[in-house]
Amino acid sequence: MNFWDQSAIALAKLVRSREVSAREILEAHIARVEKFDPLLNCFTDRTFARARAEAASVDARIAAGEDIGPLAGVPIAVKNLFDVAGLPTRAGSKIRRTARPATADAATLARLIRAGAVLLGALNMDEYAYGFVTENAHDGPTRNPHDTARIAGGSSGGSVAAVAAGLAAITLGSDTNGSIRLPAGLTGVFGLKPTYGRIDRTGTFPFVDSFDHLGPFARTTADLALAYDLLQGTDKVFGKLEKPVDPGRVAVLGDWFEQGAMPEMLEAVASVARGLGASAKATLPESARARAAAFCISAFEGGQLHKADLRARPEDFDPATRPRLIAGALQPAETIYQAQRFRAWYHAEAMKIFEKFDLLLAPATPCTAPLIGQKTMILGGTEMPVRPNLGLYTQPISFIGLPVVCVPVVSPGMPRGVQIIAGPGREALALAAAAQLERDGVIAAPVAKL
Amino acid sequence: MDDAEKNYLAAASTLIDLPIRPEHLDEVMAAFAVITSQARLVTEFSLPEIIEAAPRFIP
Repeated sequence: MNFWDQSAIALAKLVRSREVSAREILEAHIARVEKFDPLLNCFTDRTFARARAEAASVDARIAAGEDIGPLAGVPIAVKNLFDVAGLPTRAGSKIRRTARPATADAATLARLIRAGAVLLGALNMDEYAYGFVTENAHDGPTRNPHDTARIAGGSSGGSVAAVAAGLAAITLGSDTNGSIRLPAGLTGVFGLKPTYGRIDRTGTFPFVDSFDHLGPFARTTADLALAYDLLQGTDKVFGKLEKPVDPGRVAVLGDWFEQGAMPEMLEAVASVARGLGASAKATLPESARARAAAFCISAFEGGQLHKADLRARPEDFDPATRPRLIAGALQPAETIYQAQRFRAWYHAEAMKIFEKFDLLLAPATPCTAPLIGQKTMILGGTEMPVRPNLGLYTQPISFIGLPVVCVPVVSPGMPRGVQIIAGPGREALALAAAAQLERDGVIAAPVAKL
Repeated sequence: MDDAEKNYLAAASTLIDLPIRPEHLDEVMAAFAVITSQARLVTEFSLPEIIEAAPRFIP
């Protein structure tokens, strides 16, 4: 049995039943990391000594008859903006490599460890989470396991590639403008961006306080739901995955969310809609302005956050990040104030749509994964820069904090992700839809062939 | 980028004490031009007066 292609739930079952030790599962994953990570570049920090101690503890506690949590012996890893006790929280930067090591794990990581998980390490990302490509100037690019010439997406690139390659069963990432959904879509894994504010951000390095979200990645809907339950602790969605979806309450988002998309991405959305029996269309008005407002607020808050370092040591920033942060910090107050007013207006418009529909569908990205180093792409007949435009369809949604499950659609060629968007606090609905599609074979996240 | 934007950028940089090094000026101006074009989409949109900014301070 290849432990690395099993779900987290299957691995924990093996450990809890004492069929396999946590140590055996861990060593299989460590061997896979050592074999493939030199190619993929997912990990920036390996915590194998800690993981071996955690696995030994899990095995000892099981031998003593203790009830270990639902992630008993499951190897996990986190984006390197999550605090890991004993490591500097580098957040993709050169500057923070010399930061004082964290004294405790991030609240979310601690929750997974308490449930029996073992930590393999910390994962590559765009500097300060400000990007969609994980072509990090300091740590190098993370490669897409489905085609290593292509990007994994970002900013949670290491997190998605590790799951797609079978290096970890569950990883954690963050999403400010699309950094969970977009890379999940490009690498063919499941990603959940919960409702804004739903998950405790204690012990994570911020980017844009107005939009920062945390969330999990996995290769099955059940693993994703389990991780979500553990991360937030109050809304138990794991037992609600069998709930049938009402096809009349599902709509495909038109207008902005179709413009410029490659035909294969529109077909992926259509495939999910067919799978759910949905035929309705909905329009979220003025989404181009929503994306623009998110763009401006992100640049402003990110720039202000890093102002002291931008002033003192700008040469130490990733050249792809630096100009956007400086320019962002210098914006006039009018832009930010009006953008936050527009946010309230756009949210109200979205709530009108949710009176009629429960779930909305949209592509995660306008195209499949671009090549590493690719500067431009053709969307809707227009050549445009890759970096800022991969998040066209994710930015308006995180702008108003809606929960989204990004699902990998079964299709030939490179992975295609679709956003299943729900109203605030209704993660269970989106996860139930994903579970239904998975049962019916419309979506799946097999480990990439390496 | 027009002269008004260049002048604004220089003044704002001085005012908030965020200097732009000469070797970074072109890339910052390019980024600011993109931001300005996006900002225009936001500020040109007429919102009802009753709309308040989204963030709320909760004591």
